[in-house]
Amino acid sequence: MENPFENYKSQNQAFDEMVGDNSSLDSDLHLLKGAVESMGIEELKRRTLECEESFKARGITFSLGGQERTFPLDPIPRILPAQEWAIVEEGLIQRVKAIEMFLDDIYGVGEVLKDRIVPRRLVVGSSQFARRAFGIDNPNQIRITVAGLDLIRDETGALTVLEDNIRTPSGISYVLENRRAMARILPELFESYEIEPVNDYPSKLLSALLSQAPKHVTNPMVALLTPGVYNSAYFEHSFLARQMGIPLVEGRDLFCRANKVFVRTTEGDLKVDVIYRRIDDDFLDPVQYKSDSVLGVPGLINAARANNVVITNAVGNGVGDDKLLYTYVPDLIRYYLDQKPILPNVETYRVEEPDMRSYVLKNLESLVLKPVDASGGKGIVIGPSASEEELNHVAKEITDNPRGWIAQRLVRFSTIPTIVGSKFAPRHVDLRPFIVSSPEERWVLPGGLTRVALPEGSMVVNSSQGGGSKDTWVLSSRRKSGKIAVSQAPIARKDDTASTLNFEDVLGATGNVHALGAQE
Amino acid sequence: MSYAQRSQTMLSRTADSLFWLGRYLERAEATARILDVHLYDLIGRTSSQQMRWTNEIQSLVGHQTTNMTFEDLSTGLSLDRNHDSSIANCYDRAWHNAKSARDTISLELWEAINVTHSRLKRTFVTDLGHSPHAFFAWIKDRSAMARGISDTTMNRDQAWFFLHLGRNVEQLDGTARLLQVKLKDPDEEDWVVVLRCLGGHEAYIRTVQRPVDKNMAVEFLLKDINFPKSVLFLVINIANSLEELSKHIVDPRHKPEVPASIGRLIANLKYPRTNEALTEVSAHLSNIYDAQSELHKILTDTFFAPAPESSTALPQRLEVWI
Repeated sequence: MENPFENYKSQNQAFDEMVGDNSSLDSDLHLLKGAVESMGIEELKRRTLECEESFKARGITFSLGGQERTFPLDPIPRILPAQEWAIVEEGLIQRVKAIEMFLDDIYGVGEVLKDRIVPRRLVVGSSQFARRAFGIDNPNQIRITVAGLDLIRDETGALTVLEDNIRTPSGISYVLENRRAMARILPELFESYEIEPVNDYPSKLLSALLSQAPKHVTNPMVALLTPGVYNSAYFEHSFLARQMGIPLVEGRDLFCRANKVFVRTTEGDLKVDVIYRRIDDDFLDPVQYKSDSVLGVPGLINAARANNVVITNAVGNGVGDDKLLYTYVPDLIRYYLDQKPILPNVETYRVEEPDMRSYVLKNLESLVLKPVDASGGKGIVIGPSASEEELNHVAKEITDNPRGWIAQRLVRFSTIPTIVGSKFAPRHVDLRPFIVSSPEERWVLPGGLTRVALPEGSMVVNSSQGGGSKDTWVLSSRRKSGKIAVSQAPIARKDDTASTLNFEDVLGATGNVHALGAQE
Repeated sequence: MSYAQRSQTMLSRTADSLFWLGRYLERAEATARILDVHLYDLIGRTSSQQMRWTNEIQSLVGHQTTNMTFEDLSTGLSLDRNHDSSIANCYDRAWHNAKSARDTISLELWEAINVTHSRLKRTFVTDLGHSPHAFFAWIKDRSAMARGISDTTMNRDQAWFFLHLGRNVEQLDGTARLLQVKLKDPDEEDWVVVLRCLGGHEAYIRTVQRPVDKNMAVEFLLKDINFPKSVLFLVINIANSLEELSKHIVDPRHKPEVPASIGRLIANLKYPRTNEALTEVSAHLSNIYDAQSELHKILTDTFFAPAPESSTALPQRLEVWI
């Protein structure tokens, strides 16, 4: 039988995670390669097709233009070794913690602004900055209960943060469903590899939600607020509600009375204590935001302000994943945690600074231009592949509204072998890990969603634009006991006396100090 | 953590969706049955008989009677999504309701509905080709499957009872309508066809052990306590479901009673006066309609508690009680 890996080469100077100069993974990969070679690509495709059919039957789909589409799964998993993942995990926790402290700060006393770490105009000028979020201050509340950062592996193989998503990140349902599917496609490998399980996610999220209930509540009622069946992520919303056993509510199921939130049920009206919302700020409360929104609940924000309900992720989080603020996150980590950032940023140009702007405007065709407040890949212009017209247009936009844009170096994302026809071909991938936080701990789901750009050479991984996904395997480290102790560490709250916490104590528990590099 | 049954909250909107899911699943099957039976019996009938049936079927499904061939009617009621009672439309609506109640029905039930729905989306008139029978048989299979799956995979909690209630209400409506339409027609001789529209011919033979005759068939459809689509059987079932659902309501002021009209209907059917004339059938029928509208009121007032709609910006739910 022909070896499907024959003639496989990385391309475009991108780093390939399976071939080439990546000896650290070699020992972990030979089992996978062996299994795939002995099975043959046709059998692999057949099994994948079966799973795809079952995805369709079960409605694991997103709606796009009225069509129900699946998010295609490529059966070659991405493998992340335990040692690397331990570092990534700490890097993610560090980053989310710093952003959480930043949000607490700017919606509170504003030390970071007084100390001129981040310019005040940048914060208050963000379209996502919410004055309404001031004074919503429940002692148990976590602002970023679920974070879904976007990581990419650059040309040197280093995992780098591309974006922070701390509003309503989605994709977790595909992680869990992909894992189920992979156990059917390549059951042999689940015996040979020790793979960190991902199915703890719903219970971790449920605990995180329950623990945020207002203090006086003993048996909290948690609900997931969805925009409804017409939302493209509705499958995920219903999936999570079902997995957690909590009601899936729409805005019209809820109402506010005397600053309390109630849900209409067959038994009468029941009080809701915690809302895990998957609706954007703008639609949450027609009294405070868009008055014509029918997705939201009038009076919700005031109920939160009266401490009768906790809304999470919190209102006003968008300022924390503003792409211009992103460039300040390493500074925030140093400022709040007194640590060296573990995960680097992609080189980014703040076009609102005049020098940077003139540089960017001269080099548009080699850069990636992004609007600061959009998510889901909207409005992004990739210089090298953009037309003259598009570049002129974006140049004008940048000149008119420099605060609204950033520019980034075009990173060639790493590639992983992906089935194309009856061969493997390199395709670019990113990684969206998920971080779930409660007042007690921050927990990182092992792995995350690996999205793959299926068209040749494409680096757009969004599901709406021809993206697919891969299962992500974090291999178990041999010493299971001492692992990820960092996630057990208490999170510094704004009511803690010290604004920086003693990171040595936290690190000491993991035994990974050396891997992390010197402390500042 | 010790094992404990935790009470499942049921959103009013979800209860509404489940009820309608039950109704639409049932309606799709009923339409398939009626078309299948008539299609089969068309062979060797005169054209005036065909015309009569076409008109009857149209009034059965709440359609304005227009002159059309049976073939056109049958295709329209199979695949025309603009028609309220068409199989395709019923499945569209069933699917939307299932999706809206997705977190309360079992995965297997959802899968069954989703697969039927997506396959119907890809079905065209030409696919029906020369074998509409195969299509109707498939619809009946899929409906039976959905029913079986929901009965075997779902707890007997509120979700199942609302689904079940929707089914029974739709079946009651179907039986009552069939009786009404067929009794209007003095020329209707063939009560075998009527029984077969409800899948009840064999059940009749087993129970009555006499050749099919109009009076006995009507009585069978109204009062047989063992036939699952008789009015009596269904009304008793509906009353039981209502009682079961009321158990969950804590607030005594909102506790619904089984409506008086339903109680009366059961009593009248169960304990008929001797030598009841066939003319009294119409009285039964009007009792059924009273019971239905009272039931509707109780469901919407007590369980579905409609939210005051604030805007029309969202697609509004538009269900057809017909």
